[in-house]
Amino acid sequence: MGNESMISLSGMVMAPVLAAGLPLAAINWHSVLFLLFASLASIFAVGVVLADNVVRMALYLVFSLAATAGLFFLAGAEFIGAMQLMIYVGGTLVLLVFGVMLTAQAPFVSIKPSAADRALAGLAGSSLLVVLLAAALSVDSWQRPGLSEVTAPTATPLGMALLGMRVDGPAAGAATGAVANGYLLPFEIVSIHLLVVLVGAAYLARAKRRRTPRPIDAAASAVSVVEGSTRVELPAALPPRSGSASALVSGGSK
Amino acid sequence: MNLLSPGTHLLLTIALPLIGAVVLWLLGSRGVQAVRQSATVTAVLTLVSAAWLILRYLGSTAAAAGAPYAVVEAPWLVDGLFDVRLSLGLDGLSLWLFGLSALLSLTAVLVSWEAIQEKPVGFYVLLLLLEAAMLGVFAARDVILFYVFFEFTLVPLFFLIGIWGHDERRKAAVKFFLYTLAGSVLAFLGLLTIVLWNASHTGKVTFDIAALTAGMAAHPLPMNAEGGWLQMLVFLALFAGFAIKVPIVPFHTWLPLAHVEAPTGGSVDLAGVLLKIGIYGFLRFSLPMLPDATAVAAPWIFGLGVVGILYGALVALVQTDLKRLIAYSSVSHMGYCVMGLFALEPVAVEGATLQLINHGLSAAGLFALVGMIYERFHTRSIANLGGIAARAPWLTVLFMLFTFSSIGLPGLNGFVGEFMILAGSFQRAWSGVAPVWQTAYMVMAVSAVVGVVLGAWYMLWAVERVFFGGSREPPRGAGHAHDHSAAAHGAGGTHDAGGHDGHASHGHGAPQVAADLDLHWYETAALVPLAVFVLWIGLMPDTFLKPSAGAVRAAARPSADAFAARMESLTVPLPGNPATDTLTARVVPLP
Amino acid sequence: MNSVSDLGSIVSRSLHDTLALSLPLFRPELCLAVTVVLLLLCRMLPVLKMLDSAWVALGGAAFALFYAWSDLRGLPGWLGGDALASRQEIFTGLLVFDSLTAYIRLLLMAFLVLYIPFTKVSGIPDREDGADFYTLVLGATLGMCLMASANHLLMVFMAVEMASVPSYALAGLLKGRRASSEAAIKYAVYGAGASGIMLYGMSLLAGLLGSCHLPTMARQLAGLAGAIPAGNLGGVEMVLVLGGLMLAVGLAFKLSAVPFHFWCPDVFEGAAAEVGGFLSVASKTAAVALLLRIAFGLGMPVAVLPGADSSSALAGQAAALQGALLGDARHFMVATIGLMAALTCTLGNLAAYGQNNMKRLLAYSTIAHAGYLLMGVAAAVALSGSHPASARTAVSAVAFYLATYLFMNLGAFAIVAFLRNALRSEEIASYAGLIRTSPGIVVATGVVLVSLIGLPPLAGFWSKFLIFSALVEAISLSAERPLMLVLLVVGGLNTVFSLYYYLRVLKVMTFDPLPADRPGEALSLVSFPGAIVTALAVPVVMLGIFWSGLYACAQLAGAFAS
Repeated sequence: MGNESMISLSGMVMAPVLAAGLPLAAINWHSVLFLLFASLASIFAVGVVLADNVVRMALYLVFSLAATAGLFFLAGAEFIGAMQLMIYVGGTLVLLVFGVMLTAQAPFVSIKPSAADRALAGLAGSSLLVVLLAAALSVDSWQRPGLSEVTAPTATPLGMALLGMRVDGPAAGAATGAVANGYLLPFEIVSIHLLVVLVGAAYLARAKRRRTPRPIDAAASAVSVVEGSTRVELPAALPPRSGSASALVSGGSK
Repeated sequence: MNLLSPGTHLLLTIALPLIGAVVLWLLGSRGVQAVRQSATVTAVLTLVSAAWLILRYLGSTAAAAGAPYAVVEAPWLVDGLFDVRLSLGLDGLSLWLFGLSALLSLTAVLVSWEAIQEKPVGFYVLLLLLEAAMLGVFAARDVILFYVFFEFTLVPLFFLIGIWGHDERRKAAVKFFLYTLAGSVLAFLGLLTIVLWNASHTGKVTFDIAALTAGMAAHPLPMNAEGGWLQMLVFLALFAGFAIKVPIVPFHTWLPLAHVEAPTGGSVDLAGVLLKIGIYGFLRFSLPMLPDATAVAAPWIFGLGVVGILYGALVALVQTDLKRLIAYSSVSHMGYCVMGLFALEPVAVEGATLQLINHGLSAAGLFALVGMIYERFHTRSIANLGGIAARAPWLTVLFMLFTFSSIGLPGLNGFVGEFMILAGSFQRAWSGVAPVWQTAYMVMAVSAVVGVVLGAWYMLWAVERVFFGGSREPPRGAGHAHDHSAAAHGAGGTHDAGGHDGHASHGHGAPQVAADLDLHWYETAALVPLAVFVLWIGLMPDTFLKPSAGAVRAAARPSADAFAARMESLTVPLPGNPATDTLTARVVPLP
Repeated sequence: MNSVSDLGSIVSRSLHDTLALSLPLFRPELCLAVTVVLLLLCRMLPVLKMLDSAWVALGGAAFALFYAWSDLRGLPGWLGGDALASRQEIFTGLLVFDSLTAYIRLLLMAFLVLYIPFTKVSGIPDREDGADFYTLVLGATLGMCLMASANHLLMVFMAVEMASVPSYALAGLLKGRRASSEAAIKYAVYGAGASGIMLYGMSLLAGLLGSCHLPTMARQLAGLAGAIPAGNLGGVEMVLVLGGLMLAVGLAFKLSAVPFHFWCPDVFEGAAAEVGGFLSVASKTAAVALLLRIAFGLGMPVAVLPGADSSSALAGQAAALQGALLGDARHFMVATIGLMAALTCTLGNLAAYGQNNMKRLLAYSTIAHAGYLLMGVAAAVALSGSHPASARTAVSAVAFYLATYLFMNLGAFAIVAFLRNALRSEEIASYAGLIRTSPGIVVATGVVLVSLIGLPPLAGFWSKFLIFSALVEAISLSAERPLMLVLLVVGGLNTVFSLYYYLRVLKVMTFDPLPADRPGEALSLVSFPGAIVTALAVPVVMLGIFWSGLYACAQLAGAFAS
């Protein structure tokens, strides 16, 4: 599963190309839908880049990601497709749009990069695209999309894999001596990660006024020092020296 | 005699200055008199210990066999891969330099007797640390130890110049330190490459210099395109370090500044010992370990030596500052050592090692005397000095003695060294090089002789102007001078160094009796030992040449052989060409 | 297909894998995770609110250090002890426990145990911010532990993110200061870009090799040459190269290697010195470990086959090591890492020349040291194909370097932090004449900086010596001779270049006159800050003299490459 999600990222870029490479006879509904979703995803992705307005950008991103979800469905990865819709389209982006609309102020709503920036970004982006395309097209096995019927997996194996158990292919793994990876660890450890990141975000967002001046603030400016502070604590860093203590106190009372 | 094993004796000799430094530091509160007395006692004890050790060496079987003596070894990390030991010892190569370090350290302590009034504790502690480091450099038988001591000679001198120096002391200290350190790091990297190359062949990482020399003989560093000219790279790295230290001419720019700005004690150690480490390094590492690269580079470095002789002499000729003049004469005289070493002729190499000692004695003496003159007259400007001979006869006598030693008057030590170097160089030029090089070698050898004449010229001219003729600078009371110099140093350079004009206003005009201007007892004590050795080496050079001859020749032999082979390969094989035959015929003319 | 009994066996096997095999080898990380939760709990309960969060964090780190130490001691090769297998894949192969894991984890935990008292004394996270700060630090360190033990691209990415995202927040620790916020934003934006590119590279590699499990990928790589018609190999190689390069971008960003080093000086200058120390030491240690993981995981695959000790596996190893694609892969890695090393080292050292801000100078010094470390890694990879024993020595050299680097660089940042508290400035010029008021600190600074230059008899010398000896070994043994020779020369010259800017700091401290308005004593060694500085500077000296013990540990770490 992990692999597929990895591939899907490069798939976003490769989608139109693979479509173009299809022989005419192979066109069926599957291909037509694929073309449709792929081009939608690409067009809106370009739209995100070209748009000047932040809200529009967010909206285009919603469409592009939704179309990508469609690609996942087509590839037979219903679970990932659903997750894509739920998490990106449903959750993250709606939050993003809300955030943008709530905080949007005139100078930040419209982003107009200079022509030079555009040219530079275009050059870098397109050269990367060209390299990636050339690389992708040079691999034989990637040029023939398997059109065979795929049995749609249920969410059970995925869920089991996230609990550390691979029920889908232990036999194959045993033959080669390879381990079929279960994903218990990332599933669990990410919770700690999210917790830590949340604490960090809260710290950065918290606008609480400092009650104790840090040694470094005393030097830099008196901005963060509250007027009429009652509790002036000496940080442990400072040696108990009257000179610096008085400097801190006077800095605090200014 | 067996009371003290030679190894312990050596360790004790190196440790004595350190112990003295600690004692000195503890005595710091007892006043300047206690400090300088204990510094003197320490230096004397160390000198006695070193002299006794040298005598024991000369009486031992090791001296005859050319084996290292007084070996101390402590294992550091010895396991499958590493065989790293810390080891010390003396051999013919290092013997006299070791003794010279002990001798000149006493001189440095004594000449600072009155000159250093400000922060004397720090000054003498650093001076003694410097002495321990200098003794250690020459006693190290291990690359790491050598390097550590080498670096440790820099640090005390850095502070000696930077704190007790003259007006531009900070610039001088930093320049001296950075130049030397950059060079020494390069040299150390070269040595590391040797260590590692040796390890990749023997499977043992060892830093032992003797083992490395043997290893380099067994499997030399590659000296071809396939091996990346690794030997040449390593040689250049070592050259960078040692050439800056010597200094060989394009790398000499730090020297005059450092000498002029250093306090007298620092100048004595710098000129007397530290410059010698460069030549010692060549002889200890480059010549025995990298013979092929040395053979390729030798003619060029020989040439640089000659350039140094002429350049140093010519620049000295136009100096107006007496100390600067002697600094440039150092450049010139070290040129002889470089030339002798890279002639790769046994006589010349031996002469170069003797000349190290000679220059150590004469330059240290001259710098000490210039310091004394500065203390008395508060100027070093040749134009403002004159007629000292009448007022300070003994000072003049000693100055003349060291001057004659420096210009190579027969009967004094300088003559022996220079003669051997020139004789060896002519021998090399005459019969030891391929025809394509012969003319160049002849020209270089003759130019070196011109250098001798120039050397006599600038030194004698300076002596004539400073010591004879009319008195130009009103002498100043010794006591006033001290106060004045201390104040000038303390104020951090408010006083102008060459400032004779400034002095005029200071002239208190109190006429001094001549006795006051002549040598004090401590100054006499500082200079007389040097003078004794100047005469001793001049009259009986064999005493000093013999113990080191074997080791010196052995060190130079690999390179000399490689050079001979290279010259042979350059020689067009004409039938009956005598050039190759005479390569083996060596005449050793000793005076 | 999946009968109930099958499922039962799967469940029991999975339980066994997780509880019996994996968790016992995961104790240091568990300690960190528990401490993170405890730090949060402490804030909720009024009784525990009295407790300073630094002590909680320190306690957790100490426990983690103890477990990390006992894990390292359990490894075979440690004084005859072999309580643990030398290599054990845990969590169904997502992580791997071996000597490198144990060693790096030990380093990181030792770092934490030194770092937490340092920050406590320096006072940058005060009582109010302490819990947040230590949560972020511990969370990032947890990610770094995972970086050192990652065995699967998914874990590689997660670990990098876990280490990075809290670091972005740490860079912005000094809220309300423009420079700090700017540093955080810059770091985050650059970091996000680098992660994106790294993810691209990973997807290319995984897509081609059909797996994210590093040993499996390497096996696929070895088998790829046979599976693909000869004419089309070029395309596959191109994708591999592209994927490898993009993966390298992410790693280079973490290592602050040229040309992805731009963030480093700005972030170090903007962020507090304490954060700089964290990023410079811990983050770099983990990044080097991850680089070793990936380079050896993809370049030397067969050694890690199950049952590699049997003769057939050995034969297979020999055959696979000769595999054309694997050899090419190693060559490619050596070239990339080596080139990056030379550039990083040189640019870092040259750019440090013009710096007037001490933190900025240390940032460039950090970049330069990343270059030396990369040289060691390049030598190790170059030797891994033909001379595994020498490759082990090279890895030991890198491991040793990392340990000494911990003390040297953390010491340097600690001095910067304490001097900032005392002098209210981080400009080098403000250190003028410090030797007159606080000689002890100047001596400690001298020790640390001279060790960073790499002069004997200090610890930094042996690190550089071991790295250079690995390069010489590679010159004489491996097929990459020209590159290794270039690296040796570049490394040597850079050591000389670096003299000037380190010594300039010392020169300012010793020679320049003391400003008239300076208070009496800036910082004494007999004080809490002095004690911290001493605790960091003394090991630098002691490891220079008694280095054999640490080297034995580092050799153990090198054993992972067998």
